[in-house]
Amino acid sequence: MKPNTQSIKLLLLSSLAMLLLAACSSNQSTTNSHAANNTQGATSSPTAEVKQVELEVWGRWEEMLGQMEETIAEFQQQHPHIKVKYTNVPGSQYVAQIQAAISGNTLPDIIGYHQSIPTSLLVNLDVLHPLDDVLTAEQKAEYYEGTWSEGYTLIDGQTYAIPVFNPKRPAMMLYYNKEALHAAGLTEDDIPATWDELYSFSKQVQQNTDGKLYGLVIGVKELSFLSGAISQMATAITPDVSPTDLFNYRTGQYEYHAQGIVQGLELFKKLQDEKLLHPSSLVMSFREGTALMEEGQAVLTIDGSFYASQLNADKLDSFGVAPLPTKDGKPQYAAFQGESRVAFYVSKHTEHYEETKLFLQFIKEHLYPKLVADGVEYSPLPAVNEATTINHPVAAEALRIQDEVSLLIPRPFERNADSLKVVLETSGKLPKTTLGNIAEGYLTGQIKDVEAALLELSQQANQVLEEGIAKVNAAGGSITLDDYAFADWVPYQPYQ
Amino acid sequence: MNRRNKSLYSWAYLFMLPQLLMLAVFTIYPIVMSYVYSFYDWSGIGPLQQFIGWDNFYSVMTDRYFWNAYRNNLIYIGFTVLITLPAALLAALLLNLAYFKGKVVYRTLLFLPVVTTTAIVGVVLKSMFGTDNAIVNLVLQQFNLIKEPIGWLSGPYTSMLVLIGAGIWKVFGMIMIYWLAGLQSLPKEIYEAARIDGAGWWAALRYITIPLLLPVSAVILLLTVMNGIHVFDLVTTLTGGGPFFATDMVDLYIYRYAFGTGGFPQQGYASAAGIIFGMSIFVISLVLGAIVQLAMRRQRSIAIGKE
Repeated sequence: MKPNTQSIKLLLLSSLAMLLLAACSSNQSTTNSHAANNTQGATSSPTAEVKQVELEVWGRWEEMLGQMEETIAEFQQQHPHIKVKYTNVPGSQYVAQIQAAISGNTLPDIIGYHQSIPTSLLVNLDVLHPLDDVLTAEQKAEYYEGTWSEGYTLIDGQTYAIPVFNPKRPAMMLYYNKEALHAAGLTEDDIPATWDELYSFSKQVQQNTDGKLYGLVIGVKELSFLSGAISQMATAITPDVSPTDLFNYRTGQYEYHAQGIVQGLELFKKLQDEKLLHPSSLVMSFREGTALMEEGQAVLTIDGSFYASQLNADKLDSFGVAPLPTKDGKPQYAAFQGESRVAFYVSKHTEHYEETKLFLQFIKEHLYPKLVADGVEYSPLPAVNEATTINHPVAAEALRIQDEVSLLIPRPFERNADSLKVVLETSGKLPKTTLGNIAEGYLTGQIKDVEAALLELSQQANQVLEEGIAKVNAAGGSITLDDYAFADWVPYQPYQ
Repeated sequence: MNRRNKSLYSWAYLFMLPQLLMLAVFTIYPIVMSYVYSFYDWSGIGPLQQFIGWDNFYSVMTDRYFWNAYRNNLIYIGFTVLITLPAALLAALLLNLAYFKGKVVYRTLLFLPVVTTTAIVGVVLKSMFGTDNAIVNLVLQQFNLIKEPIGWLSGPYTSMLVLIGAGIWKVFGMIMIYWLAGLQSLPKEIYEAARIDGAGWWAALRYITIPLLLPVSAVILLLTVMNGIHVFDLVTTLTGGGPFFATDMVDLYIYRYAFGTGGFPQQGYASAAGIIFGMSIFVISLVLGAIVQLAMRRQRSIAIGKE
């Protein structure tokens, strides 16, 4: 059949015209809204047409979603020409999403921090906008000491990140269901403070409820929760080893095989083998585990301080929180190094820098108090934290415990800035097998010699560190393993 | 070539161009680039700078967790192929019988899992095979088949068993349809001739159906193997590769390195793992193809010998 060339040409021309029209369109529009007259900063004369701007923000902190949405609504009310589109990206997909956005040069205007993609890397890639003019020197001084740390919020003296939460987070703790506790014939005085008490408590719960309830449930599938709990409890036995990275800051070596870790794993193994741990623990995510505690199928669960604000608000009287039990009741700590682990960056390629500044300034004034009032997290401003009442009894107690157990540990980057280059060299190359994996393997009986498995991890991690140091030195840096050893640090005392 | 033909060819190429461009951009370019990445220490972010030669390949080849995932993949493929191929053939033979009633209903029922979203299947099965208050354990306990609930997904062997079972259930309908298509393409005259010669159902199956299906079976075998390689969604939602890597598969392993959250991603390393796995599967496919070819030649030579 002879092709109808006229029709095809017409079709192609129409398609081309449509493409051109599409290319000419823009996601910006203008408005003569009178409301825009009330806006500040970027908006200019009241008679001028005000550009409608959409800010795209990516975060990954589910616990503050409600407060963020509330803050955005208030912000949009004050600045009607700015629309903020906040996306809460699941933590497990965050790195991949950032990775793709950097490759495609489609980073949103504001991006949340992730420890896998440190500030220095993003600055090296030239994708971040300096934020020196977002806060004045006086405003910066209001933040916690150590907030403006080189390598995290600052790079070469320039500010690149604005913190959202305070740096002391998260600490792991024990949550309990009071109704389940009473159903097992126990009281809050029976909440275990030692490992022996945890064991006998779990036995009592099962015996007193004919096996219907369990003492403890902890979903291990989100592996960092079990490992986070074990490594924090381990500080009561081997305090030299930081629970954050299992690094011994006195010797300057990774120490996954620290006695505290081994004994913590043995505790959970004993609970698992004697069927005292809820049987679904090994197949559930951490949130499924906490849901079982909320339902009353288990009395205790372990979670981060941030979990308190996510408890069922209608039944807050039914829940309580206590510090994690330690082997013999000795103190424990959750480590922090001054930097905030929840912060916002601004993309260098944003077309709306003035509006992002407005938004970040607005967050400081409006989001911080909301976070504290709702018990989501303390803000990075001590004054706000002191002045704001937490309207959530469980969260208030959780944040108090977190504050109590948080400890400032040595910071190699303060001793030698080249350690930040080592971070870049070693990141992602540390063993992919984690303490959580080892814990899972040990609990299921797949790993028999847990100490040997942990020792292997320590050796691999230390080798990666040594190779990282060698690479940095080969590139002109000057750093040794000694820069990681803080023999003068007295554990349980903040390292200043 | 006359003017009219030239014009026709030009239009043909013009219409092929978008497809060729898509092929080049979305298939050829990524494949070529994954080979390039595999020679770099690259996180997937920023420019390719650190050329490291064969280091990524060496690291993958010496990583026992890669070989663990590889072995798991082979176990999964092996079981799904060995169970699904004959079982689906049997089902297809039954559903191809002229006097079998309700064929459409059975075919639809068996095909339903194929069109169900794999991730949803994984989530539902995870709940069914849970340890506490889960339906599988409750039913088994109800019939006194077990005394205590079994931790199906918390044991290394049982979790693999569940995974293989789920994989078979999911792919069974598709393989059965392949077999059915093969069966229905066989010439009816041969069966009529065989029937006249006194051949029964069994003899027809053994001496006509199976030999004639051999060429199709090679394709079905290859498709089943390929299907067994891509189990990312099922494994991620059902077992997450656990417990302790007992059901870890190579695509999951690659994902961990390519988009890992424990530090920078390692796209270069992940690419090397993908290439090694892809090449080895290619070799396995060639071997399988050769085996089938040999079998066909043998059949042919036997047939010729009989003539």
